[in-house]
Amino acid sequence: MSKVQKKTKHRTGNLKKVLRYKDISIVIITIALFTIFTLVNKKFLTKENLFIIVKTTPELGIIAIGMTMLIISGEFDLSVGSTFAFAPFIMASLSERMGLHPVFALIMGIIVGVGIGFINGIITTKVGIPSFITTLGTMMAWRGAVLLASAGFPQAFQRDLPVARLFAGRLSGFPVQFIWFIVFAIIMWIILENTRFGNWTYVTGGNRNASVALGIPVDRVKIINFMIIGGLAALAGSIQVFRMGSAYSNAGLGMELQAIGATVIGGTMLTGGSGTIIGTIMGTIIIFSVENIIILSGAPAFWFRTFVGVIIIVAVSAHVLIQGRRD
Amino acid sequence: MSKRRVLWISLVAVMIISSSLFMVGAGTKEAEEVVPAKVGGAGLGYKFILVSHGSSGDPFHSVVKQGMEDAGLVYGCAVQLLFSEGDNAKQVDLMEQAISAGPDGIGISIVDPVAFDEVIQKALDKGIPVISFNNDDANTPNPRLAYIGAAERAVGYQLGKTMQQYLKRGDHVVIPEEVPGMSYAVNRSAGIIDAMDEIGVTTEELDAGYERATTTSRIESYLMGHPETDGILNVGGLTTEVAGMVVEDRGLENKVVVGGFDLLPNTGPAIKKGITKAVIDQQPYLQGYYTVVQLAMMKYGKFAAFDIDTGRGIVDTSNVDEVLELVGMRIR
Repeated sequence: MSKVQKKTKHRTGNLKKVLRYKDISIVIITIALFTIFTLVNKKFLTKENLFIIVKTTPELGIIAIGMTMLIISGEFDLSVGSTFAFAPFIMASLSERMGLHPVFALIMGIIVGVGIGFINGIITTKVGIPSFITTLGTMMAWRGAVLLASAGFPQAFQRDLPVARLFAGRLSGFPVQFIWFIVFAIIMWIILENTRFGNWTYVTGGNRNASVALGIPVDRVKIINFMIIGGLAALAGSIQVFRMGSAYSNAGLGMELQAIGATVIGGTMLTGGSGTIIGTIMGTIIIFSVENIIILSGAPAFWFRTFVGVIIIVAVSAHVLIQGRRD
Repeated sequence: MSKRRVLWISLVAVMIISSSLFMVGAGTKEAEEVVPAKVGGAGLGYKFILVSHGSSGDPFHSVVKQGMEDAGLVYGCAVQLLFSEGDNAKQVDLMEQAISAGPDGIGISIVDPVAFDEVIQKALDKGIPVISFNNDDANTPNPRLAYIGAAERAVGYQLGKTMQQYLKRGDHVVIPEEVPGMSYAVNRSAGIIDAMDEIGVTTEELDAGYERATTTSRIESYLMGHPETDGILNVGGLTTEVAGMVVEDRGLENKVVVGGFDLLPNTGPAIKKGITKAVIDQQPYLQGYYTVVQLAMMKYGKFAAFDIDTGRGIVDTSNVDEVLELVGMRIR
């Protein structure tokens, strides 16, 4: 049965529409981890603690859902951390230095992010350089650009502006940014699972030659996915600016690997052609939850990263084993 | 996609990004015009290279750079600052390249007790004077000629001593560190612990990470898991800023005191609100400025090198407004 036929079959049935077959294992792992974490420390499942997790998850999570789309289509983007710093810096500068309306400044920032994605996509598909190399280069280039523009100093942004409260404020105490994360995740899920473009994304990453033979515009699919992740990285960086009240040129350092990590933990194959948005949401939540429980439990500073690494490997191994049995 | 369409879209993308850069660049230039008074130059014409372990995007090192560049202007010297972004091996490579460039003097931040000994000796053998700045090797012999900066352990102790008045015997303090193991973190936290031991306050170090979302989450998680915490004493500027925001966000202003280093954008307001009680300003401008001045004088008058302690400026509610004005001018 071809991947396209498999996908069509998956679309039937109500629950299966939401939880794709391969999502079940990561949902089981997440529930199992949450149960274990609650047994380890009863504070884990309190509203107060869950708010800590949902407050900071969206900045990584929004990038990770874009990364999922791109990896499924068979490419990487290592420049997301630099875009996360550069585009919001442009946004904050346009608003604070040039007096542009904050909403237009935000739109400009997102357009810059989309433009960076477009450039990554064009170089990768039209010049034929592997995206790993293209985005390694642009990662350094955009980090350099933000340093040049900022001279290394933070750019202030007013946290009490309506646009800042809209994207990083509180709604009855709940962090609004998490709602945006879920909104974008739903939009991306609909695009990936219920549109022709989503179908093309899977097939392009799964088998490029077959895709070309089927008449799928593979280059266009990849370029659009680069643009999506660029725009999402710009938006995620802007949310951090709204939350912190400053744009920093060193923001987003190491975020590219965290985003790829969240995507892979969620079951997306690095080889392309397979992965889900729900898996990535779970992957992002797992990363922050594991850190959270280890700190709640009082792990010593120098063992901290070791514990996080081990728990993530165990979680992904369990995910693979469960999925293997189901397959 | 047709070639013409690709060309047009590329053109639009490049135009948007470059026009944004241009506009931001114009703003940067405007901001730079208010920075320190340029008092002319003696025109010594020397060339110096400074090799830092820091990150080019770190506001602290940007102030070091500002001090260095201003000294270069005052004394008419060309100065260049290279960053290794926390990579010791890369810093050694940069030092080798600096030696090859044949400058009149080199400044280096020494963040490892042995890694730089050989390359510093190599520069001295070639007749290039080397002094250290910002970080120094205080524990093992090192051929550098002088140190310009603050003693890290003493700085940490100074913070702890300042914060003693807000804590009492039996209290508990967490010490978040952006990069545990780095010499600044090791020495400053040791100094803080010395001061806390004096008054019977327990301490615990926390690996807080260096990305703001992660740092926020980890400090919040710690407070959640350790409600007995009475203070957050930070070894770096990033965690100092985030800790102040977390304490305010969680409404713990009357329970948890914050102290730390440097004046990142949200730290000043936190001091004004009384959340962050005090921060130590390492006066990074002077570290960059005096490194260049010392190298220039060593070349100009053949003066012997000597250590300069760049001090420990304490910023609290009494002087925060005055200092913030200088932060805007990129001097503090």
